[in-house]
Amino acid sequence: MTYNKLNTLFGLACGLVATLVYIATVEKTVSWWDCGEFITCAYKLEVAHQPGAPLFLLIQNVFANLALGNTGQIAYWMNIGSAVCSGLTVTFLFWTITAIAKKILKKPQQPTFSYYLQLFAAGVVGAMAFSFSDTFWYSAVESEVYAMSSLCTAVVFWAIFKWEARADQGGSDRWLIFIAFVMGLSIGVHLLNLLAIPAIGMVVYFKRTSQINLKGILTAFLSGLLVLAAILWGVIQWLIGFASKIDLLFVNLLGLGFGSGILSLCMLVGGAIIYGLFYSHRNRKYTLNTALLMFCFILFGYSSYTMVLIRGKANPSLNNNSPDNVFSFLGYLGREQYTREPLVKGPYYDSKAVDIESKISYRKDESNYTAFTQVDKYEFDRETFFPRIYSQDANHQAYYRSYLKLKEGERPQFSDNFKFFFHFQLGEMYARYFLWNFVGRQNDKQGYGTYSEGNWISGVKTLDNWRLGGQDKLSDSQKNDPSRNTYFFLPLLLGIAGAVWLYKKSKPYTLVLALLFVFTGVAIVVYLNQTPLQPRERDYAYAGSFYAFAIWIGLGAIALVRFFKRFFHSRYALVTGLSFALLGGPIILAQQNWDDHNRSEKSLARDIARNYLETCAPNAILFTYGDHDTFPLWYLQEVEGVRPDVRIVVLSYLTGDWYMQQAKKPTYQAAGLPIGIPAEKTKKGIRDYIPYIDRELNEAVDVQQLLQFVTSDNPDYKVQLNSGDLENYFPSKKVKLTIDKDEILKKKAVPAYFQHAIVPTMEWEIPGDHLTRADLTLLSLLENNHWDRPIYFSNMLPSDIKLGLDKYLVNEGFASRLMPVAATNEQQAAGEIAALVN
Amino acid sequence: MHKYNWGNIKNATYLDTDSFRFSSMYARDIFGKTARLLLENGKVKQAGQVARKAYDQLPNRVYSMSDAINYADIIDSLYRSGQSQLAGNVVDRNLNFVAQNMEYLHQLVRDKKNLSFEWNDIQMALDSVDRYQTILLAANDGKRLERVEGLRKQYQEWYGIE
Repeated sequence: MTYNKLNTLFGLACGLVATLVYIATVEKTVSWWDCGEFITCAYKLEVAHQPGAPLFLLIQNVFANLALGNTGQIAYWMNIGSAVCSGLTVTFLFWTITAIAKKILKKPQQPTFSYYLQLFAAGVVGAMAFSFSDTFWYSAVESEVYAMSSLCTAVVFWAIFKWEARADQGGSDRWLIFIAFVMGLSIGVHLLNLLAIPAIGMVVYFKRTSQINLKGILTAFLSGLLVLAAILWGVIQWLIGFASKIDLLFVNLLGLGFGSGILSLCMLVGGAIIYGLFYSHRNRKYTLNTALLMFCFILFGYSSYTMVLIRGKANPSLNNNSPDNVFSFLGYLGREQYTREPLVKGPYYDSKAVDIESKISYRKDESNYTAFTQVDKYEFDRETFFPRIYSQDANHQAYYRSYLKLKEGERPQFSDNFKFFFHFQLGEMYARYFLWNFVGRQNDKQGYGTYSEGNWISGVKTLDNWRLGGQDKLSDSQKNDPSRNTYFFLPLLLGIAGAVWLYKKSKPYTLVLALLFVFTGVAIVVYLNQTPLQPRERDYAYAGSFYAFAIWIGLGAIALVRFFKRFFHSRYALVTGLSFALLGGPIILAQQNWDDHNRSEKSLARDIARNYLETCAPNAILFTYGDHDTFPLWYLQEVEGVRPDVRIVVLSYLTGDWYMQQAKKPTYQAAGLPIGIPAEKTKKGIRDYIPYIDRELNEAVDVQQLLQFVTSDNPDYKVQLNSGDLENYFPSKKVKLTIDKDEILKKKAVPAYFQHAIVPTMEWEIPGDHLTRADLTLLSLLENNHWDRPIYFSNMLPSDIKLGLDKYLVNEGFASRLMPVAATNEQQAAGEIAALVN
Repeated sequence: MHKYNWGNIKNATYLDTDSFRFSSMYARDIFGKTARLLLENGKVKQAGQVARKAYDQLPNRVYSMSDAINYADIIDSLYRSGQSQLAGNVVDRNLNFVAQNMEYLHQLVRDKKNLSFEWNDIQMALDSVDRYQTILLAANDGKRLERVEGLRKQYQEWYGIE
C-alpha cells in the first residue's frame, strides 16, 4: 500500500475513533448556554444572537432531519453534528501533522518501516491528543459553533500544505481558491478561522520566495495582516456599510424602493469582477485573476448570510435585531447589541466622562430611511493608549482595585494597564486555559482568582502545593472530583519537545506554526480585551491555539524517538519513544478527561427548562433574564413543543426597539403582549432613554398617566437637554395601579388563599434613574393586561430590572407571579406553600 | 412540586458546574424553603414528605460548601417528621464534606496569606455547623451533636471566634 493511501486511511481512522468517542459521550439533549438558542434557530431557521452563524444553522438543520421527526431527538442529532465536525477536524489535523513531518523528517534513500511509523505515529499522537484535550472535547459534544469553526481552521491549514506540496505544478492555485471559499464559508460559522490567514500567508511566502530574509518575512506578515483586516472589516462590514449608503441614496434621494441600491451595487460589483476576470485572463495577469477568483469565492462563502436577511424578513419568533433591511443587518453584523471594547485608546476605570460623541444612524420607516442621533462614544477626562482596565462597571472597578492592589481613590497608572494585561488577561484568561489542556485542571468551578477553584494543576504535589497550597489536606470530594484532571506536564513537555525539534529542523515551519499559535491565542486576548468577572470560562475561544500546539505534540513523538536513539538501538528507541509519546499524550488525556467530559447521562438543562415552564399557570407571560433561564426554554418550547401557551419574553432584550415590537406578536399558542404604546413612539432613536427628573410630586402617579406623560409628543411634557433637544422624562418614581377586586375574583387572577389580601391599589417605587423600553413595556402591560393573563418573573432576574415590583411577587417555584396582594408574612408563607407543594 | 421533573441528578456520576448550581438551588429554594414554610405553619407531616422527596431526588454527592447550609431545612424537616435515619445520613454526609474541606481550607489559611473568596466558604461552613448544632439539639441526636460540637470548638480555636 502506498504512503498516500496509508496516510488517508490512518487519518480517517483517527477521525473515526474520535467521532465514536464523542458520540458515546455526547449530550442526549440540549446543553447549557447558547446551545438551546442554536438548536432552536437551526431547527426552525430562525435568527440567532449577533453576529449570527447562518451556515452553522443550515448544516445543523440537516442533522436535525436525522431525528426523523422525533422532536425529542433533534438536540441529540445536532450534538452528533458537532461530534462529526470534531471527528473530521481530528482527521485533518492528522493529515496536517504528517504533511509537516514528511517535509521535515529526512527521508532515507530506501524508506524504512521505522520512517513511516514515525510519520504516522506523529499524526496519531498529535491528533488523538487534541481529540481528548479538555476544551476541544467540551465543544465536540454539544451544539455550539466551535466544533464546526475548528473544522474550518483545520481544513484551511491542511489545504495550504496541499498547495505547498503542489505549488510548482500547474493548477495548484486552485487550493488557494479553495482556502478562500472555506474562509468565506467560515464567516457563517465563526470568525475565528480568519486568524489562520497570517500563518497561511507565511507558507505562501516561504514557498514562493527564492531567498528567505527578514524583510520578506515582515512583508509577508504585514500582507497577511492586511488580508485578515480586509476580510474582517472590508468584506464583512464595510462592504455592507457601503451598500447601506448606496441604498440610502437610492431610497431617500431617488425615491426608489428599499433594496434598489443594494441590487445596483451587487450588479456593479458582479460586473466589475466579471470584467476583471476577463481582463486578467486576456492579458495573462495571473495573480490578479487568482486574487479576483479568491475574492469571488470569499463572497460565495459569505453569501450564507442571505439566510439571515431572508429569515429576518419572515420575522420568525426568534429574530434577533430584525435584520430585514440593510441598516438593521449592518447593526446585526457589527454586534451593536453588545458593548464595544476599546483597543487602541480608551479610559481608565476611574476616568470621568466629559463629553459624548454622537453619530447619525438610520432606521427603516414606511417609505424611506430616517436619520436619528445615537451615542457613538464617550470622551473621558483621562485616557490611555492600550486600555486594559477600562470598564466603568462598579463590580469591575472593585475587582481592578483589588487585583492591582490600588487603594480607594488611588489613580491607576499606565503600568497598571500592562500589569492587568499580563497577569489577568494573558495569565488568567489564556495561559490558565492553555495549561488546563496540557498540564491539568483543578476542577471545573469557575476561577475568580482563588486557590481552590478553576486553577491549572499538574499532579506534581510539591509544585501544586507551592502554587496553590493545601494539597496535603485535600478532601475526598476534591480528590475524587471527576473534573480534577492531572497530566503531570506530559502533553506540555511533548509539545515543547516537538517545537524544539521543529525549530532545529525548520525555522520557516516553526514560524508558520508560531503564527497560528499566537494569532489564535494571544491575538484574541488582545482583541477581546476582557473585563474581569466573566459569567463563564472562555477557553473555547482559544481552541485554535491548542490545535496548533497539538501539531507540536505530534512532532514531539518524533523528537522522543530521536532522543532515545542517542541511548538505545533504533528499534528500541522507536518503541520506547512512541510508547512514551502515546502515554504522555492521548492516553493520559483520554484517561483523565473521560469522566467529566462524558455528558451521556446529563439532562438537567432540559429538566430545568421544563420546570420553569411548568411553574407558570396557563397562558402566562414569563419574563426571563437570558442564558440559562431562557435558551433551554426556547428549545423546549419551540423544538419539543412543551407549553406553547407560555409567552417567554427576555426582559434584558426589551430595551431594543425590535424586541419590543416582537413581544407584541403571538407565538404558537401564546398571544402577544398587550402593549398599548404605538410602534412609532418607541422606534430606534426615539425614547431610547427617559431620564428621571424629580418634580417633587407627593402622590404616586397612576400607571396610565405616567405612560401618557412619557410617551407624549407635547413639548410641555418634555425637558430641554444640553444639546437643545426636547426629550421626555418621568417626574415621579412613585407609581400606582388601581385594582378592581371584582374583576380579579371573576378572572381568578389571584388564588383563593390570597383573595382576602387583594389591595385596592398597587403602589411601588421605580428603582432606577431612567426608564427604558423594557420599563415602558412592563408599565403598558400592567395597564392593558387587566389581569387576563398571569405574569411571571424568572427567579434568576435581578431585582433592579423588575421595575420595583418585588413586593407584589409571589414565589411559585422557579418563577414568581405578580399578584395585587399585600399579605402578612404568615399569609405570604401560606400562599407560597400552596403554590410550591402543588 | 409534583409537576416538576428532577431528571437524573440523584445518581449522575458527575454534574458540571452549571448543573450543580441548579441542584443547589433545588435544595435551597424548592425543597428547603417549602419544607421550612410547612414546618413554620405546623404542617410537619407534609414537611416530612417534601424532605423525603428531596432525599430521593437530590444528588448523592455534595458539590459545594453552600450545599451544607442549603440542606439544613431538609434535614430539620426529616428529623421533625420522624425520619431520623434519613436525616442522619444527610448530616453524616454533609459533615464529612464540611470537616474535610475545612481541614483543607485551614491548611490554605496557613499556606497562603492572601485568601479572598475562600473566606466565604469558611463562613458558610461556620454557619452550617451552627445551624446543624441547633437542629441536632432539637432532634436530640446525641452522637451527631457531639461531633458537630467538636467541629464547632475546633473552628472556634482556628479562627478565634466565640
